[in-house]
Amino acid sequence: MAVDECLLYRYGAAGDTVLRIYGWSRPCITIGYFQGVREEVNLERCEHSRVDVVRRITGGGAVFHDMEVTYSLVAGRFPLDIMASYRSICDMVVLGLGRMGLDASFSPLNDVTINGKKVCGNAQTRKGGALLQHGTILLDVDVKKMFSLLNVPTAKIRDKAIADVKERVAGIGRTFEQTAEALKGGAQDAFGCELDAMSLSREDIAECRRIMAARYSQESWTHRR
Amino acid sequence: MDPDRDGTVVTAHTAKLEKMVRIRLDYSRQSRTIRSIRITGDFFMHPEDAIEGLETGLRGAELERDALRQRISSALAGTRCFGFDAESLAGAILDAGGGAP
Repeated sequence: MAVDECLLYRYGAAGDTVLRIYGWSRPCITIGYFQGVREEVNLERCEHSRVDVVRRITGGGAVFHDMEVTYSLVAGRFPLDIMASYRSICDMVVLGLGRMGLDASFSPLNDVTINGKKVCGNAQTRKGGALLQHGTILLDVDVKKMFSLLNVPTAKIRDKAIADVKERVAGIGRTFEQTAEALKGGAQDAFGCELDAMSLSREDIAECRRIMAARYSQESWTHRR
Repeated sequence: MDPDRDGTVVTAHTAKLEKMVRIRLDYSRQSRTIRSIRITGDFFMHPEDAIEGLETGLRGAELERDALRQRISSALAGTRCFGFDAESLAGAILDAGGGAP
């Protein structure tokens, strides 16, 4: 999260576009900016299962990050209309999945679907004149595990909630490496550009550490709502 | 316990883009006005920090549809919301406050 925020302010705000593709060293839950952490997450079970929980600076819902490819894209130039900007960036995902032979489509406001099932969720924020979009491409989904960590309104509807999600959400059944490569290709196709590999500079890393200390490692941030 | 004080948590589904809005409301049953409100959920709001202004702007508001709608519209002027609008949020708040008078 800190790296994404650093990229937003240091690169996006300077007019650059950066695509970051990453995974998680261990499963984690992120919650949307407006969500109540105790409403959404079973914190005791997360602690027991060593699943970290952190609040994003982007809106949207709680995400259990496990078997997926995560990306962030920051941009200094983008469509001002929010729906148009989601469409433009999600096209990257759609075209990337197409490179793997998957017939995906953008599903407003912020999803990408295959055969009507969500395979990719996205969330945006705009700060300092720049845009950050987070997105997750599901490789596989363990709905039971997800619902053991996220709260559902009552235990009574847990089975129905699990069935509903199984009906509406799917993994794409590809590897991390295949998907990451395809996503890079999708970015080239969608934006008509070549990609240059980059590493974080010493200054970037220092800024990431500062952001992490000031925000994401603070319980007051994740528990603020 | 103050009998005039009532904390209520209500979950309201909004029809807009299948987003969820939850209302935590502390209100006076006697005067039917809001003491404090917390609005959470998986919606989107740009800029995000407008949520604090919205919650502050609703303090003291009467639990009445038009009054709520007016306060919400005023607090959200210039803000883009996905997942609720003034009408649906006013309805959710009224539900949390035990329904319209």
